[in-house]
Amino acid sequence: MTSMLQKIHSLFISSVALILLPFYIFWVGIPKKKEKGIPLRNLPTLALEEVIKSMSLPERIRLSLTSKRMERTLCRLSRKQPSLSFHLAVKNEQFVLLVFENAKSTLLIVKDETMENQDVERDIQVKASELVSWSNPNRSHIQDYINFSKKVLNIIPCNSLELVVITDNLSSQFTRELLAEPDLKIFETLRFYGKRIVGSTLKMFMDWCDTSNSFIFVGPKMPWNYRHNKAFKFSTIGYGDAGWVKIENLFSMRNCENVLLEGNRFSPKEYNRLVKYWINCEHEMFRTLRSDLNRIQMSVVLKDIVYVVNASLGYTFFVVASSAQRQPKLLIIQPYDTFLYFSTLSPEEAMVLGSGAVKSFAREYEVLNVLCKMKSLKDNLKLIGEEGTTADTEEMNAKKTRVSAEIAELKDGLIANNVAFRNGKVRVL
Amino acid sequence: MSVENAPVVDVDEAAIPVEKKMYYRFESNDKKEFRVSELAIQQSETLNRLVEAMGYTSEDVENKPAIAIENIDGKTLKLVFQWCEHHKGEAIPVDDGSVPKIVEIPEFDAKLMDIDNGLLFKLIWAADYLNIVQLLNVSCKKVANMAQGKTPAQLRRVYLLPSDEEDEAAKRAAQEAQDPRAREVEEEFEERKRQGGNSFF
Repeated sequence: MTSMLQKIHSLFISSVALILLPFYIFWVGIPKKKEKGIPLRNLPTLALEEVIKSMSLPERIRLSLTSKRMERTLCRLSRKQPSLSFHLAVKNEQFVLLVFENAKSTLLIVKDETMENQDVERDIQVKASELVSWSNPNRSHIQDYINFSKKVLNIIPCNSLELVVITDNLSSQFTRELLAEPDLKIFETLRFYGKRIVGSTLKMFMDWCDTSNSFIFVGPKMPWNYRHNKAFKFSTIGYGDAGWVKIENLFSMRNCENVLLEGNRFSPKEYNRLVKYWINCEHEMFRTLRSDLNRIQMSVVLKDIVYVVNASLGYTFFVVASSAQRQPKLLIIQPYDTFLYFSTLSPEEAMVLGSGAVKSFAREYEVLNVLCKMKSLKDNLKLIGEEGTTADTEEMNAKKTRVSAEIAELKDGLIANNVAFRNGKVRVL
Repeated sequence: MSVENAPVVDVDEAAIPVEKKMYYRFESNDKKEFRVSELAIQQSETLNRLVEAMGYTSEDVENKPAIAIENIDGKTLKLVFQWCEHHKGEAIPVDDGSVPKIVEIPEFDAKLMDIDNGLLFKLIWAADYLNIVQLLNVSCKKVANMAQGKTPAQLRRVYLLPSDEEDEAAKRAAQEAQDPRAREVEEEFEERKRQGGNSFF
């Protein structure tokens, strides 16, 4: 009897459920089967690589935090991106990790949440607290952030690595601790922003930075009369406030790649000394040098120097050749906009201009060689003239005539080759 | 399955040029047969090379057995060929090196990939095996999109990733299941390494 009642009861319940089901579906919808995940690690290698490539940089960081094995997989599959640069920035003795694409768009910011927000999108940020599995209580704050940098760089290999220092509120003690970290040597560029820096702190950075690296001082005012024997020895040198630089400081440059000196106080006469030093120098001083174009009279800059002028592609170039003491080189001096550019080139090398156009100076080099020969003949003629005052002979006069004819012949050859002599300037047309 | 009953992938007849086109026959590992146009096949580097090497004529295609694709099932292959037919004639994309990689999922592809993760996983394997670059791009982009706004713990669930502890446990289990002699050799090797020896021998 009981079982009979139970059957009737269950039948009743089932019938009610069947009647109510369409209403339930109408109001609530068909219940969805819980979606199972996708086994990422079981994807073919190429596909896994594609998935990682399509992820944003914070997503890649978070994926690597899922397990040590996943971190290793990301390191293995990540390839160096030429467009990416990594910055470890130090501000108020706290750190920010940044990844930029083509030095413009920011792709990743890793920072402490206590730090102020600096007009950056939320979604490109990873909070330092998320990296708890990468930190170590036995390590200092500095060591932790250097370790974060190495971890991020393993997952996102970047082409250029910069240590950016905001110099305000930077203590000597912190600087000493920071520079004592051997792993900090991975940074190839040291860049400074800020308003002030103490001379002793600056000295610590100069002592620490390898001469093969770049030292760029964008913001802070340099201490007046600052001196350091490595100040002009780095591969790339930039001083945003170069008022302290004396022209003779530049004579210590050796094989520098790019030099940028803004706010300097060089006079045209001092530039003239620099160009003369460059001509007679036995080693290469720099590849490019950009300086301010203030009160520049090129006639003074190039006084007593053999040079040619060429105006083409919207620019004016003053070309000088090195002396015979080293491999032949050309110094191209180009006043443009508010800057004076100096570039060292081999005679057969072409220069890529700001517009993207390419300019060769092979012809200017040939003309300079002839001009040098003419100058040497003129010096010779002067000597004969001086000798002639004491012993005026027919032979001397004949010699003078011969040398003068030789000079005239060389000049005619140049004129025939589209070279113009105007107002003491030699223009390659 | 006979050719007559084969599930033919939807083809826009109006779009077919007047000249005679060749349709190749393929068979999945569960014996489902598909007819795919020559132009659609060009999206797959693997199949394109295969048919080029075979040098089939129109008669061969009809008379010879369908080309077997052993490791892809019918359901997945249908999706693959639908995608190839829709994108036939399109250029194979080249990676421009942008970070992150820019991949747009067109509406057709989004609808095609509105499938469960199990089938999506098979589709990715098929795209990889058949070397269909753009299908691989869009399907991987769909998988990458699953990471948006997720914490590492949520990512472990989405991507079925074991934690460090689970990885350790799996490693231990694998070691225990190993042949005892092999384990002995491994232990001996580890011992020698600890003692500073460079070579096992």
